[in-house]
Amino acid sequence: MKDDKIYKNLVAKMEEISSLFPQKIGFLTPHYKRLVPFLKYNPWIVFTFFAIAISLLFYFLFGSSIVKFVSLFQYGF
Amino acid sequence: MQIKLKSLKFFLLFSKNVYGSIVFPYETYRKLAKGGNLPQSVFVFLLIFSYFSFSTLARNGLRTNPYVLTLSFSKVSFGFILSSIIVLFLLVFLGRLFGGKGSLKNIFLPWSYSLLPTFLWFLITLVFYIFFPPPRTTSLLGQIFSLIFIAFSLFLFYWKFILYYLTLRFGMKMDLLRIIGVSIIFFPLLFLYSIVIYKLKVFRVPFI
Repeated sequence: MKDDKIYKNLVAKMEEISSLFPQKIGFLTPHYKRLVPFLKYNPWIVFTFFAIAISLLFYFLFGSSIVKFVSLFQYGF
Repeated sequence: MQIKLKSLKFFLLFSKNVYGSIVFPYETYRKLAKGGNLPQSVFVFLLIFSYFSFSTLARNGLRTNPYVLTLSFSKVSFGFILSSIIVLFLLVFLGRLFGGKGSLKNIFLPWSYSLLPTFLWFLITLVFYIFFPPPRTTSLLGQIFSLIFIAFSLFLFYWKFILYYLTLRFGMKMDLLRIIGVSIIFFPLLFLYSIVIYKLKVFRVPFI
């Protein structure tokens, strides 16, 4: 059993996963567990959605004055 | 020959981890936090210092005296190295203060890869600066450009933020509440440091 490669890999994986305590944040834990899978795999989908949504929100809130804000940040490089 | 093979190995590892940090960041960061294969970070720093050369040329112009260019490049490079040392040690110190169990070795690679969104933001902003120099007008095209700029900045900010969280989560083995605790102290200090380097005319936006 100890020479079995699959078994060794399985033990290594188990050790890797159990090296950290599961995340617990009180009454928010179930919500956290529901949210995290979206960030674990392909989080860029969520990022893209929120980036577009919030930039549109900025536009509706501040109108064309976002142009001044962007002009300022363009000097930031 | 062996050096070439090793370089290729680290380059492949680097490419794999760059892809992993955007497609499956949790899994990738869990592996990075083990602290092995540290030389792969060389490629991250190569990208960053190439950007510094490019930005120095763009800021000062191609016909500027080479001494001025060297001085300008050295200033941003030194600013970046100093910022990196401060941030790394501060994260380890605050992490341990809040009960974290990692070390500099565990945090170094995750933190290096978390510089990729920063690098991309600076690079894309520079390219935009060259092709669409500010100030913008309030014309339709100006507003569309502004929306695109804000959207891509937010995208990179979210990516940066998740990589920062994972650096502490896996590098220092901390839970969310402790990470929030570290951040409450870390971000104001970072803000103060950003003001200092802005006043010293090293970075307008901190390269952290």
